[in-house]
Amino acid sequence: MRRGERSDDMRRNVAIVGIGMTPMKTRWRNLDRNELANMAIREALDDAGLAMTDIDEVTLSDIDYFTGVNNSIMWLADDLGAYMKNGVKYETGGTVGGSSCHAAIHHVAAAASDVVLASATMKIPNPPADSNIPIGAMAQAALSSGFHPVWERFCTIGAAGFFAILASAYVHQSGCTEEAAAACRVKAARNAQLNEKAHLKMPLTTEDVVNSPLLVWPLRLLHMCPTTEGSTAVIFASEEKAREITDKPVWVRDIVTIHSSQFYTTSLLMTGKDPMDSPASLPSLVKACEVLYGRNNINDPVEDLDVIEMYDPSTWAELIWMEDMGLCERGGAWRMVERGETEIEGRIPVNPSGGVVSTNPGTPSTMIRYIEVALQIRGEAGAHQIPGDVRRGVATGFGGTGWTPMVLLSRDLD
Amino acid sequence: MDEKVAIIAVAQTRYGDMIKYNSEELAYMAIREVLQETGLSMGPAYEKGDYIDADIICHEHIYFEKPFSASLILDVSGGNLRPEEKVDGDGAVGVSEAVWQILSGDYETVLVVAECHELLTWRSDIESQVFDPFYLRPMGLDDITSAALQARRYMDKYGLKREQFAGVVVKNRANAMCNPYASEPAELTLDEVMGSRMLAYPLTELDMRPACDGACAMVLASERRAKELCENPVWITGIGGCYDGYYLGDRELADSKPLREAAQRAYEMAGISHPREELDVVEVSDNFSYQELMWCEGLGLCGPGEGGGLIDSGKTGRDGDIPVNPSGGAISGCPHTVVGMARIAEVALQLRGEAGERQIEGAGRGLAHAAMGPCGQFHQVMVLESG
Repeated sequence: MRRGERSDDMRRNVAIVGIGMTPMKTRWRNLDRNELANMAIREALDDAGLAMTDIDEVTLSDIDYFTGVNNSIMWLADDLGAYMKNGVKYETGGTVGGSSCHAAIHHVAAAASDVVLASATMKIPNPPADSNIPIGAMAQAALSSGFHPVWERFCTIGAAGFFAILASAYVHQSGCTEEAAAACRVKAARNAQLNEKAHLKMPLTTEDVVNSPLLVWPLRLLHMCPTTEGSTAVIFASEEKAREITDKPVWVRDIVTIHSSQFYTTSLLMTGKDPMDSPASLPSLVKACEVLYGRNNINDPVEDLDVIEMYDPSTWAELIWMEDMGLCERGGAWRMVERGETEIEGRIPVNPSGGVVSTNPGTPSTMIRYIEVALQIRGEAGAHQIPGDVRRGVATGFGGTGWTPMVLLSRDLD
Repeated sequence: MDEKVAIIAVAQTRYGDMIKYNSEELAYMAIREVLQETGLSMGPAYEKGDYIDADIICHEHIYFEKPFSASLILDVSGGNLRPEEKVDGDGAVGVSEAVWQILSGDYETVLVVAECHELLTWRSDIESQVFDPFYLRPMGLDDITSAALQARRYMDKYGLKREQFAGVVVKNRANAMCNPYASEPAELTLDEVMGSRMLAYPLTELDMRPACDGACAMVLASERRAKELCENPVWITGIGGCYDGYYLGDRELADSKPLREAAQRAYEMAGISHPREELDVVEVSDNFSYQELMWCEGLGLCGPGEGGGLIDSGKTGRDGDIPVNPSGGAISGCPHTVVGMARIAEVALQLRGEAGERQIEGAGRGLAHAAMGPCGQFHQVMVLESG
């Protein structure tokens, strides 16, 4: 891993050599969690041409509080292929699909292992049998319990509260219109329809979006991500192994993780005199980009990168994150989307997969971002493949109390 | 390992009833101590200086009844706008993750924190959730009942006696009399242990680790930084981790195959061929009395089924030739999630000559063991060395 000016380069180069992903959908009624995890893992092994015995270690992303299990790596161990192997389970939030990838990358770079599998699965338990509660409500209740009961929960009911604060400040400060935000959602729907694994593949128009039910102004139902079930797996290998395993390794050039305060949402509300003056920004993403761009000589991400796949839990987040990532000046993202610059054929394609707003299994959501950039670099993204050369791309994650893991992937090592 | 990583500071809170402190306060008690000891601070992310480069929080979030529970202690761990990860498991696993982070070249100094308020939880309700909801959970399995199955199998296969299990409790609780961190030091007799309330035959209340609250923090550093920052670093020279299968019926509960495997990997890395002779101090995760004996067998300190003879011989006492759990072990009081990390902390203190009244003279190489999951489904073995 090359790291610009820094003296402490990663000890060994690491590559993605295998990718597996189940189709993403509302419910997988016929499979349990272990089977779902195993399905993605088998696909990753097939992709790499490896057998389970070739895997040295397993890293798991999981959030037990969503799945009603304790210490889930125990039950999953057999189906992860962890029997008689080392393994570790991470739980950071929506970011966790990135956390387990970063752990796998650290293990390989440190020469703890040569080939490491990272796995993430979401399967939401049924609501009580005698109730009419939909599964989404159960997930939102679990999510809300993550926030501080005194200082945070009043303004962060599920995920919508947090994004409504950001979005209303963004509208106030940037002059973004409902129609412009809808254009961003319509782009996501168009891309998702080209992605056979995406969850929501609805054909959407601007009218559909602006007329969808209002959740918290200016946030509408179609601005928010769905609740999805599915599983992903990625196999990482050292340079030496990667060259043996595959002729299309995708190189991990840099990883950055930045977390932020547990009171991040409240601090948004308290920063200015008026919540409308609070910064429409994700500080952890700004910081992560500053570090990653600085270390890798990325002066203008629009020119220097070929694809960006970001974790957009809401359409509004995509617009705000674009500005945080330096793709345009403050307040300019919605105009950039209107000009079509972030389309698959645009200057800098953003979320060619359709993004989180089309597919959100939670635990695997960050890993899906990493996978999408890797597929684009391999040229294997199918109908949503970006035309032309895709040499370098960045993927981001999001979760917890406004946290960001980030990866820079490339086709070539030099 | 061609390049080394060291523990350069260790701190533990007292283990016991800490209900008057919230998670943040409890964690900070330990964190403040390691910051003061190393003189490091939480600097800007990914910048050089006398900073903690990153932190790892070890929480089992189900014990906090909230997802991304790391946020509870993130601010005092230095996670705000800085690199941080959260391991959902024992602090001992966090320590090995920190080793790999440092050896990867990403960071030079990493803070690891484990914290749990176990007294706020109803243990059995949480423990039973590790079992699958279709076949095992409806049987009412939890840590106690599954451990009782394992203890029975151990007695049946190798003829171990309840007296020998009780002998572990008597030894460890007495050792804890010299450990200011332990929550339940005691002078006990075999009869008192065997006569205490029966939980699930053959295990009594005193055969089990008592629940309590507490936190442990450590700073790990690369070889270069460790030598700059610390006069008596403790080097981590071997690590091995291994999972068994999940279903209890698939496993030979009386022989810990994954532990033998984990130990083998750690010994190989540390260049140990005769653990009994080459180790000066051993700390194992004795969540239940009999497990200390079973884990000693898995670590190769004696042959299969010889754990009973080992405790009878007195050689695992503080003055014996292979002291096991001089701290008093987890059975003298240590919170869930901290159990394995506290074993590492004790070995580090012993190797630094800072173990006070329970110091083992001349300890130069030690082993710390961690176990997670039903009947020890996962084991991690770490070899540590002084200077």
